Amino acid sequence: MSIRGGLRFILLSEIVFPFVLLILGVTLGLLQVLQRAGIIKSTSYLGIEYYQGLTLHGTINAIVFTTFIIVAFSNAMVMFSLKRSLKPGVQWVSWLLMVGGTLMAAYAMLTGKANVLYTFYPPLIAHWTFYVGVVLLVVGSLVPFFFDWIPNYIAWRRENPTGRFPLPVLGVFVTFILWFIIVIPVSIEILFQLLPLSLGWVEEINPLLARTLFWFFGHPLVYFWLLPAYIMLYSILPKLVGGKLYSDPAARLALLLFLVFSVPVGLHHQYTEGGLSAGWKLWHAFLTFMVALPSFITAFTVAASLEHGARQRGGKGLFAWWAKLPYFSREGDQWLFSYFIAGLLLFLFGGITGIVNASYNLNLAVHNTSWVVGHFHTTVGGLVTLAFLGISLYMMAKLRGVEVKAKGLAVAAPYLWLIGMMVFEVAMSVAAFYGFPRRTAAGASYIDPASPLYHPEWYFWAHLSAGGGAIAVLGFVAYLVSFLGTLFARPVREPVVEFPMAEALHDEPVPLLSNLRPWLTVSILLIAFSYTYPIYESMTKGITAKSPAYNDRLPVPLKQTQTEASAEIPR
Amino acid sequence: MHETEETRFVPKGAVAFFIAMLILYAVIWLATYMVMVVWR
Repeated sequence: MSIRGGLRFILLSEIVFPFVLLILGVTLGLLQVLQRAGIIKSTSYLGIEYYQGLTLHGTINAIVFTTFIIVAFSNAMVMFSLKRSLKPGVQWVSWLLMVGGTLMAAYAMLTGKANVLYTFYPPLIAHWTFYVGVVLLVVGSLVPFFFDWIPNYIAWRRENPTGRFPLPVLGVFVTFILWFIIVIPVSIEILFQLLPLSLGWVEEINPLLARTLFWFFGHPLVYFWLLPAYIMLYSILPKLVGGKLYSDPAARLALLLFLVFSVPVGLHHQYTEGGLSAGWKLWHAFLTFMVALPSFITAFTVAASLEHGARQRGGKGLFAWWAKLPYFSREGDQWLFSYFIAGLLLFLFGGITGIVNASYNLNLAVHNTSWVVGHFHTTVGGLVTLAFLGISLYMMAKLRGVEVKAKGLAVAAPYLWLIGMMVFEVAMSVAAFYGFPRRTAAGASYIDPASPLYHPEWYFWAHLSAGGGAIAVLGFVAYLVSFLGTLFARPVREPVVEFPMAEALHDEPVPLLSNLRPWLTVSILLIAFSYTYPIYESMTKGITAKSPAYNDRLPVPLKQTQTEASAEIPR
Repeated sequence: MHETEETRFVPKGAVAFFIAMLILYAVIWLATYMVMVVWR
């Protein structure tokens, strides 16, 4: 489908703008591992404080990059699947809100006024521009869903009254319904707690309630990242290996089960939180295990689709067929396969480390250790990042009307990333067994042999994680060369929006799996049941008292530091 | 449904992979549990 003018600019900039920020985000990730290993001893480097860098790394990589790419991919996939153009006016409003919001939040972070990490836990408090920026980014990302894709789908449905809900569009709709639901609690946290505290309208807020609202959003956020990657695995990956999607109904079922189970799970991030009943934490633990179900369905369906493709290519045996997959192929669009398979290999370990996190007993041992860091670098830093990097490069080449440049480097990039992240994951996981903390600028204390706080048992693993991080960054550099080469290549054909779409081997129609309403109803009921009492408890029974605002520099309330005029403050 | 050579495809390899994955997951979970109990 051809694309021109403003729409083409919007889609291209939704890929290039966050990529420019991602260069900073990845660089700061490298600095993090070097600082945590004590290779860089100072907690301030290149004018960026440690916690400022950590905030930028998390916010850019996990919030800004992901949101932009999800919107760009969804825009293109809805347009391509429904064969209907997007509405330029709606897209411009979305683009302005997202870019404007990102720049506001970037201002707060780059000037050191928002060293609150991407979880922005109170009582740490940021400059108001950080919170308003995040809200604008999120609102902007929802605009196309409500004002472009839904109207387009309704128009398509009128023209195709008997046509089945296209699988990728169903996936996009599940993703954005989920996104809309989870944005509500975090918006309440920001608008009624964090922003008033940041602006000085209130003296103190309830941090327990804020954390409960945050994780109402924060864990399902993972599925907002993952679902577009799953759409790619179902729709694109089988075609790349010359096969078919093994089961269309299984794919739909997995997507819809995410809608039901992925939201009421946030308390598994709060097992150690006083003030919330153990019974409700156990209920959320149970539901977290239920979320593994659609992921297991996906694991089997994707493996079966890969097997189908591999057997078309002459694959034999129970396991030998894996050798027939196009791991290093540069033919046509097959280079993209390397991003999906490397991401899936990382995600295999992201799955089991996540199950450990979800386990009520084991979580207590790994909570707030480097285990968590290892885990999310194989999920959001694994499958999500690699799928998004791959699809960005693919879409950018199509939108510019060029061939992907430096394909050899483009194929090498995900494998270098895979090796680096696996080393990082193993190092962080083993270090966690010894209690190595997450977040902390350990290099200046625990990893420094000259420090009285020195922990020799963490030293080797912190350095190994730095080595893993450095290898992953090499992979990113390889990708960067290919990305920039493609971005500035001379166009050789018409710009298009298109994807290699797989047919389904089993596509028996199951009406229930093309109807969102019953699944959404169950989802809302389950969320209401699972969160009503925990939120009531957070508001009334929490053992955590209300707290005034702090920043990351002094362990005294901000108001006191203002009175004494003794510290630079982020207000 | 009309049966063709394609729809007769039985993903034995995917089943084997899935079982292997579940075993791997169980081993890692139990190993983690043991390490936690012994070390911490």
